[in-house]
Amino acid sequence: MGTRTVIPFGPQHPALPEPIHLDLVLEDERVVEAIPKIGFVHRGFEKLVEKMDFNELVYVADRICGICAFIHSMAYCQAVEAVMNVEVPPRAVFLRTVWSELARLQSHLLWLGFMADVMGFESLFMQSFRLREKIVDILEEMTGGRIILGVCRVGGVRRDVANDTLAGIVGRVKDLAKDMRRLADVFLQDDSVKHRMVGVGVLTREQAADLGCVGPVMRASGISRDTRTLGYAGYGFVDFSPVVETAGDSYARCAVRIRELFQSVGLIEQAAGKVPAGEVSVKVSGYPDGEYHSRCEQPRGEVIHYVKGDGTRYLQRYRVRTPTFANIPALVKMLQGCELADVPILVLTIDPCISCTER
Amino acid sequence: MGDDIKAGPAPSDLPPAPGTPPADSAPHEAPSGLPLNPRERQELEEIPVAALLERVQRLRGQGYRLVHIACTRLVADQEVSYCFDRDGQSLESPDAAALHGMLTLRVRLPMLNPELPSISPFYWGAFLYENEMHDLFGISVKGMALDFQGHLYTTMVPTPYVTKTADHEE
Amino acid sequence: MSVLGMTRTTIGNLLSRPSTRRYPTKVKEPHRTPKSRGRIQIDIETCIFCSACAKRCPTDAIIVSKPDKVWEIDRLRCCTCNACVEVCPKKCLDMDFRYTLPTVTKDKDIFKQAPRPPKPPESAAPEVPAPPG
Repeated sequence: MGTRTVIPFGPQHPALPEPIHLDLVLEDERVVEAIPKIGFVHRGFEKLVEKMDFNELVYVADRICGICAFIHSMAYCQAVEAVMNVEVPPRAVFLRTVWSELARLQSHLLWLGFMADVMGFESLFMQSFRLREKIVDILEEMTGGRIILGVCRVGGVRRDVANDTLAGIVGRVKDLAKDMRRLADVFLQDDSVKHRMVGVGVLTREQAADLGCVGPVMRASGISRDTRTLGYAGYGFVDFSPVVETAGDSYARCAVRIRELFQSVGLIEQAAGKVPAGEVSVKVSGYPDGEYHSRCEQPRGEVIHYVKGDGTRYLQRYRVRTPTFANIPALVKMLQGCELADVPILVLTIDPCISCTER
Repeated sequence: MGDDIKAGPAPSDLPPAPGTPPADSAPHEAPSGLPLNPRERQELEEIPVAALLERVQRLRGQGYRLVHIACTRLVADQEVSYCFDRDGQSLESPDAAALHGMLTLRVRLPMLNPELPSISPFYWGAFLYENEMHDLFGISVKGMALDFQGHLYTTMVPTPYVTKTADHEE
Repeated sequence: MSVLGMTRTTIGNLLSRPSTRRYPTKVKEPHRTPKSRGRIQIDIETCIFCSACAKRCPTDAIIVSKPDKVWEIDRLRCCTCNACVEVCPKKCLDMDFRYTLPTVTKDKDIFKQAPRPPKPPESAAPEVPAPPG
């Protein structure tokens, strides 16, 4: 029976640039309990409904997160369109699908880079970011923004992309898939990486279901659930199935995200091949009256935008539940029983996006 | 209220998305007959506060997942919505769109001294939502699994989402 | 058993040129892409000061003053969302692809329209039409 010490981890910590605080109760280098604390970047986005009307809130939704920005704005637009019964033109729907998958690519590459950085493997971190830079350049050519694309609006999208440009982009992404394969081989087969990740932070299938995890954390424990199977935004017209692993440890979560990289490349090719001709947005008139929960699959899991309007220009309530909010209880459970040196790996393995979580 | 938010009628003029062949690749066949951008079926049920724990226990036994808990401040009172999800189904089933769905339990609370029991005995992960409800809306929840005593979000104005602040400027 | 799997890539990176550039002495050429959202430019002579852009701006970065014929924008508030460009009826606003350089003061960019020359006065008597024949 060793002595217990409490070590504060964060809000500045070696895991990632976002502030999260954990009080780690240690017994001789083994974590017995972890008490989380968030709230360092709470900006009170949801209170902006009192000041900005429902059209301007798209800009707010875009800026909730600095990694998964596009899917937030798409989820918000889908919520308002469902409340107002707006028919989005099919070209806009497929373009949104292409952009979602490109956003997913850059987010997973960012996560891979951070994971390598946390393990101390700096050259792998630089290589991941080098690859990510090419995806972000593609996004900038298409939309004008690197991460915060600013292309979604209620009723469609604001920018159009020519069909041959799309075909060129599909070709470039497929070329990048070869570099991604080399990167993935290092992550999945290199001994030093495997020693840090295999068997660390095991979450069984029952635990994952009890704690209500979402996203790759849940899929790595064997539960096959992906919000994209709901068929929103053109996902009903592309062929895919959720990527599932059964081991439930950090290595399985890494493998899920790497396999989703290649799945995204395939989805971009499929969606870009199906973009029909037509306009890209419809005029929206009137004000939202009603409520709807719009669900999308972000790179981190299921995000929910709940919108409630009462017939005036300003919404009554706008609530965002991000996937990291649902994964933090899983983090707390995973940390019990791990070594101190594994704490940054475990914090990063749920892919935390704390700025989303606290809005 | 108690009105159901069921799936609206499918858009009558389905866009010919799979039928429009692009110039370079052969058109793929659509795997199922899902309309473009379908509206998800979401059911809403209003229940009294006293019946909350018993309903949540029943849903837990049926294997529902807690999706999120949302609070809304209305004109004269507040409402709290607990959203649960059935198990998602894959696209192989022809009736896939009907099998997805969210169930929302809605509870109405007064503006002054609202109180709720915690659902932590059934869903341990609910402590974050309940602490957030307490900090932002002033709803006191009894028996949370991890109680931050109001310090989850440290805001300058206590319960900012129910107090009208003068402006949001610096 | 796989060790040093990254060696080949690392040696390749060591021997090839770096993928970063020494900013600010070397800037990316061409400056970003033609569609990049850099900064808002205005052709002040065409502006009619209708304030549609100021009403649409989500961050209240634009202030329009019709009597003074002044249009100002706070560059640090502008989030380059392009809403003002889309709503301008005279199409005098444009999104340039070069972005605002870093500053040390919170100055606004102020554009003032040059005063127009006054219209010539109308003649006192109306024109008398020439008699027929």
